[in-house]
Amino acid sequence: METDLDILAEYVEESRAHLEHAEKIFVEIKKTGETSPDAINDLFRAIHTIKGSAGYLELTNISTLTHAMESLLDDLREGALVMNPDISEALIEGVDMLNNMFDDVSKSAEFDVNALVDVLKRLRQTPPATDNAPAAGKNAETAATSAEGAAGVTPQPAPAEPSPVANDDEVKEAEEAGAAEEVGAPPAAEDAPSPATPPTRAAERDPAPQAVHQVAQPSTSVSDVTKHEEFLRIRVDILDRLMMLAGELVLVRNQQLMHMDQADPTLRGITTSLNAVTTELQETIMRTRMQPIGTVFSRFSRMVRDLSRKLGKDIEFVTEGDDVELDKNMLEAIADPLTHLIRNACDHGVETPAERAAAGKADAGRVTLSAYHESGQIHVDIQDNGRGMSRETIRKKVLEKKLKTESELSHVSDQELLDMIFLPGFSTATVVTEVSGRGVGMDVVKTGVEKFGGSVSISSTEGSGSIVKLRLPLTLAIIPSLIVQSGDERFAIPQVNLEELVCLYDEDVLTRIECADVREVFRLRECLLPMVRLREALARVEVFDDAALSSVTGMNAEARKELAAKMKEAEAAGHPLHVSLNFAVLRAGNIRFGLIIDRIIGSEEIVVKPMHRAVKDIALYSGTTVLGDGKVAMILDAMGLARHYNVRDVSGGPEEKKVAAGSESGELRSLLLFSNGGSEQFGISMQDVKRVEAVETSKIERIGSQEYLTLDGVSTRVVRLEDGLGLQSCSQPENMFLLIPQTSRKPYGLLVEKLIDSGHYEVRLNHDSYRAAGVEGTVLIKNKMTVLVNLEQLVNMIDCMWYGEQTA
Amino acid sequence: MNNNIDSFFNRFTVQMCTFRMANRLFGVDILDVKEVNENVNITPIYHASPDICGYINIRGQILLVVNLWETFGFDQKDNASQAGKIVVFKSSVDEPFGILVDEVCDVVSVDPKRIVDRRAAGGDAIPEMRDMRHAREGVVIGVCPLEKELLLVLNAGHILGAGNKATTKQGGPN
Repeated sequence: METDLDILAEYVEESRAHLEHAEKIFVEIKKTGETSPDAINDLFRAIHTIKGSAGYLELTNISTLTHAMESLLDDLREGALVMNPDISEALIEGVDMLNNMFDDVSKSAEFDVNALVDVLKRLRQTPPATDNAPAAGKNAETAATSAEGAAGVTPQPAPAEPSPVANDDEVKEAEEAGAAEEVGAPPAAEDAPSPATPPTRAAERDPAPQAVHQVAQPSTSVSDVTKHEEFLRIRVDILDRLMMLAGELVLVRNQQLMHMDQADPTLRGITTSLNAVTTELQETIMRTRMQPIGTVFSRFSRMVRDLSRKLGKDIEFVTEGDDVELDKNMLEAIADPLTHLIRNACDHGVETPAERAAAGKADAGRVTLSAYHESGQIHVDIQDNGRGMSRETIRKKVLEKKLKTESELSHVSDQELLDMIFLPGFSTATVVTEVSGRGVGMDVVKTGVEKFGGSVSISSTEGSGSIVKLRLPLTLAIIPSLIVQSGDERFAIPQVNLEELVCLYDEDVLTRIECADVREVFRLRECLLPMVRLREALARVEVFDDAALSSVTGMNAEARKELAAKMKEAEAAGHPLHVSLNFAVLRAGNIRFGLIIDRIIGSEEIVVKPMHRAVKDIALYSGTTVLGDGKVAMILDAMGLARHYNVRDVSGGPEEKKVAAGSESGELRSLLLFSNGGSEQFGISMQDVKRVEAVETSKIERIGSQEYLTLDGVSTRVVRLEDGLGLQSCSQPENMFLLIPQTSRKPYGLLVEKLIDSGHYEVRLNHDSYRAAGVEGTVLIKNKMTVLVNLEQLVNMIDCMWYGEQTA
Repeated sequence: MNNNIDSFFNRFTVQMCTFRMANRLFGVDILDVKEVNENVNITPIYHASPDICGYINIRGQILLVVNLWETFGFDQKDNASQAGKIVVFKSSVDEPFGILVDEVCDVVSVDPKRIVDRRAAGGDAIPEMRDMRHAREGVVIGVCPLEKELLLVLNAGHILGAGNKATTKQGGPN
């Protein structure tokens, strides 16, 4: 019960934020008299989000109104309509009405939205719109009756049990929220589980096919325990202040340590305790901001329940890792993307019972939401066992929406095709439903998650389901970054933007950086990488144009010539001159470039502080930070740098990507090549590999026929390639490599003997020459036959073995 | 004093933290001042407007430092030494920031009634302000005659411009 009320209260709060944003946009529109596509998109998203949740909370009036507004905005977005004062007036009226309804959601059903809905509908039709008017009127009539029916239910105070810590206002709010649910629920929903019943009981009592089996026991038990603990509401800004003061204390402690007289034993004792207390204080304050992710998860169980009823599907919702803790800000930030993803999984992923039966699957579909820690990040996976994504549909849709051309599509790999669902404007649902399918979902998710330093990846097998993986930083405020130096100043580059570091020596410094037209480029494994010189970018305030670029390029070409002469001289004199040049390969959105810096200092976890208002508009920086020695460093914004240096999107043009690859037929894939004792060469898709560990074979432990290795405190099952593929066994050298797969949830690694190379290779698969389970086929790489291992298949095979052993 | 200049003028006496710059004496309401700092390590901000010196770190807090020479348009050639003190303002004045000044002088008590309101006198009536090429609107409240010299009274809240106007001079990518 309590969670349901919380959901509603939270929804009201969120919707208010969205409305506030929408109002701001309208003010802007009024002021400038212009509407940018971005503004329309923002409005659309705001209304779309409000509508989505209104649907499952059964706030009929809000849902009806937002639906009408959304349809109108959608037309504006598509360009079918042009914004005019009438339209904006009607939309503003809609926003106002929504605001009024949110003032007291319990009475939202009493508002008359039909007049406005009619106006909105009429606006959608290009004038003269007389022929469609009767239909609209009829619609309004039905809407009116349903609204009447809903309003007829008398609001009654919900039997909410006020928790001891809630203040009066909250209780009142909760009661109102409860009443809202009673009112909002149409009479037809009577046979469905009442919202007041705890989800677990509802599932037991109501064995209808639409029921959702609540499996997330941990979350309920956690809340049972916490109910008895004491809580205090603290303002976030006070916590922030505490956090800052703790930071200051750390610096004072550092100074004290530096100036301490080591010889004095009493002083040393005091300093040691000061040290310990300071550290603990800081950690504790950090923890105040952390909350279990279960608080966000729990609200989705209801959402899935309602969705399954609406969609006529049988969906089981499972959550794992409810007690994983996340920064409060982060929790708020991921709520929206997760809502979209779960809605997508239920709507597009899981099939109807009939379809499932036809495919030979169990009636109940399953959506799994799991959170876990890994390598300093929080991972959240959303998995469904539905129909998966049809590559053919994606391809068709991309072409139909003109997001890519036919020739562009001919080069892409399977994964790249899958990633296209993240393109703005992409939507595979053929019918616009209340649940999802207007093409806002996935790109909102991606931009949303990337905004706070996370990443999204997707994999999907047709017929057996999809999995979307979110990787999130622990907090919004602390990010790992690379510290570099240019001139006398140090700068921080967020690790999320960093792809790799390249260092050139001696002769390479002179030859490897080439001039292409006005700019400098570097050939990085068959890719042309535009180069950006940080020093020049900082020195010039205006955005670089062609003239400026060519002068910089020319100057550096001169400098290289001089350097070459000097090196020759030095070599002739018998004291060869050693030079080096560092650059970092950065990616921002679709743009990839090399940033030439003077020196790489190292990596550091930095606390991000926002820019001062007076310097906020400088595109080059995303924030500031204090480095370990107390000096302030600026955090570079990769996208801003690229724009400032006028670097264009290079990923779009495949011809730039493949300078040297002549043939058209093969796809370009990023492969890791390795050998395993014998003379065979193997390849594996880089994106399947999470990381590579150098291991000593003497450390491998045996239990029965199985082998294990302890990595970072985790017993990792060692799988030998020869076991899986039935190859000759290799010699047993002391040092080997363990490939840790990306997808498997069970900890194990693939043991291989030698790594050969990695890079982008043109792959023309030959399926016939060599066949085995776990092998994709063979391919010629550098004129050598290479066996392409399908890690996923191999992983599945081994997973089966694993389960088999466990159940046996 | 923030933005409410009238209430400032209505006060009985005002204590001014005075400092010297380009041979002129300036003063700010001492209630606006948080602390005075030695010239610590300043991190320059490339692409910022010229009146921004950069960022400093004072006990974990990052502060923007403003170069008043530029703000007022004094000839930088006269500015012999960049080394000076930083007057840090309270966060109630604006987002945290400080100004780089040549020298911090005494605290003087001033009767606000003796301050010649700049709004009444007009900028050109005050000789000390003639070569201040581009002082922002509202930065100089007025002039107060002291025993030996004139004190230019500043409104700290307007040093970075009022509200969002502050960024107009920026050398951003336009």
